[in-house]
Amino acid sequence: MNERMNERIYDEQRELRTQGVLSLLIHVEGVGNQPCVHGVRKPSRQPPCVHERMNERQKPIKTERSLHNMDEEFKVIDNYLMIRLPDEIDHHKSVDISAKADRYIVSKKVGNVVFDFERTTFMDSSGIGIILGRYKKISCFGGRVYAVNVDSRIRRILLLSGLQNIVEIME
Amino acid sequence: MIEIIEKKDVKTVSNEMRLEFAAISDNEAFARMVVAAFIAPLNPTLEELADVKTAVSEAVTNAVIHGYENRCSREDKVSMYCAIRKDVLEVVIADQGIGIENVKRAMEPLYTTRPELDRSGMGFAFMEAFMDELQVHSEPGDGTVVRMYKKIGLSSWIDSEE
Ligand SMILES: Nc1ncnc2c1ncn2[C@@H]1O[C@H](COP(=O)(O)OP(=O)(O)OP(=O)(O)O)[C@@H](O)[C@H]1O
Ligand SMILES: [Mg+2]
Repeated sequence: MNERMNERIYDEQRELRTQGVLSLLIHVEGVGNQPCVHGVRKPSRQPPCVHERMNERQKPIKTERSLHNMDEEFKVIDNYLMIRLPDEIDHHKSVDISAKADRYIVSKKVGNVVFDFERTTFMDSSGIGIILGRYKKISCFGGRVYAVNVDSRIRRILLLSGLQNIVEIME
Repeated sequence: MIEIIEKKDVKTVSNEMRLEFAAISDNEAFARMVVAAFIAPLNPTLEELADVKTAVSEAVTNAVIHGYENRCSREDKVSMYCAIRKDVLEVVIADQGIGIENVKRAMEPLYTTRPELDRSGMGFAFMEAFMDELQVHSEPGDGTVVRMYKKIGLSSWIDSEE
C-alpha cells in the first residue's frame, strides 16, 4: 500500500517537473500575454528561442498537446452528446469544453448530455460549472444530464454541490 | 498589500516555501502541483493529496477570475506561501486584485458574481470541506488573502509504527 502510494507521489512529482518546466517556459516566452477571456488563444507567432536546449526538450510535449484533437472527445449518438472529459478538469480546461459543448448542442440539436469521467483524476468547481451551464441550456427543452464512470471522489464533489437532483449518476 | 505571513508561530515551522506567479489560468495546475510536491515528504494519502489540490485550485482560480477580473495578464501576480508545522500544512494564496466587499456572503455556497462565466459559487465551500480550517481576509481595492490549514495524517502513525 505504502509502496503504491510512494509510486503515485513519485508520478506526481515527475508530472510536476514536466509541467513546471512547461509553465515556466510559457512564462518566459510571453504566451501568457494573450487574452484568454474565453479560453481561445489567437495562434501566436513562434517566439524567439530563449534557451536552445530547453526549447528542444519542450518541443515534443508541446506538439503532443497541440495535436490533441478535442473533437475526438465529443460524439453525438442519437439525441445524446457524449463528452469524454480530460484527466484534469479546472478553469483552464473548462472554458474550451463548455464552448465546444454549446456549439454541439446548438448545431447538432442534441437534447441530452452525457459526461464521461473515465479518464478524470482531478476536478474542482469548474467541473460543476460545466455541468450546471449545460443543464441550463438543455433543461428548458426537457433535456437531461448524465454522469458515467464516476469514482468516489467525483461523486463526493457532485453531491457536495447538490447536483444529485440535476445529474443522473449512472452506475 | 496585506501581509501573508503571520509573524507569530514562525519558530515551529519546519519547512516553508514562497512563490509568485502570473495570474493566468495556465498556472492553476502549476500551483496545485507545487503544493502536492511540497507536502510529499509528509506521506499524504491520495485522498489528502486530492483535497489539498482541489482547495489550492479553487483559491488560485478565484484570484485569476475574480481578483484580477479574468484579465489573464502577466502583470498581475498571485503569491503563494506554504508552511509545515509538525504534520499541519498551511497554505496562503493572495492576490492584489479587486477584493471582496462582503466576505461572509461570498463564502455562502452557490453565491457567485460571475454566473455568466459558468461559475457555480462552490469554490469557498470546497475549500471549507476539503481543508480543516479556512480564513479569508479581503479589502475592496486591496486584494484577498486565503489562508488554509490541513493536518496531513499518515506521517504520524508511520513514525510510531517504526
Ligand atoms: N480572490 C478574490 N477576489 C475577489 N473576489 C473574490 C475572490 N474570491 C472569491 N471572490 C468572490 O466570492 C464569490 C464566491 O467565490 P466562490 O469561489 O465560492 O465561487 P465562484 O468562484 O463564483 O464559483 P466557483 O468557485 O464554483 O467556480 C465569487 O463569485 C467572487 O465574487
Ligand atoms: Mg471560485
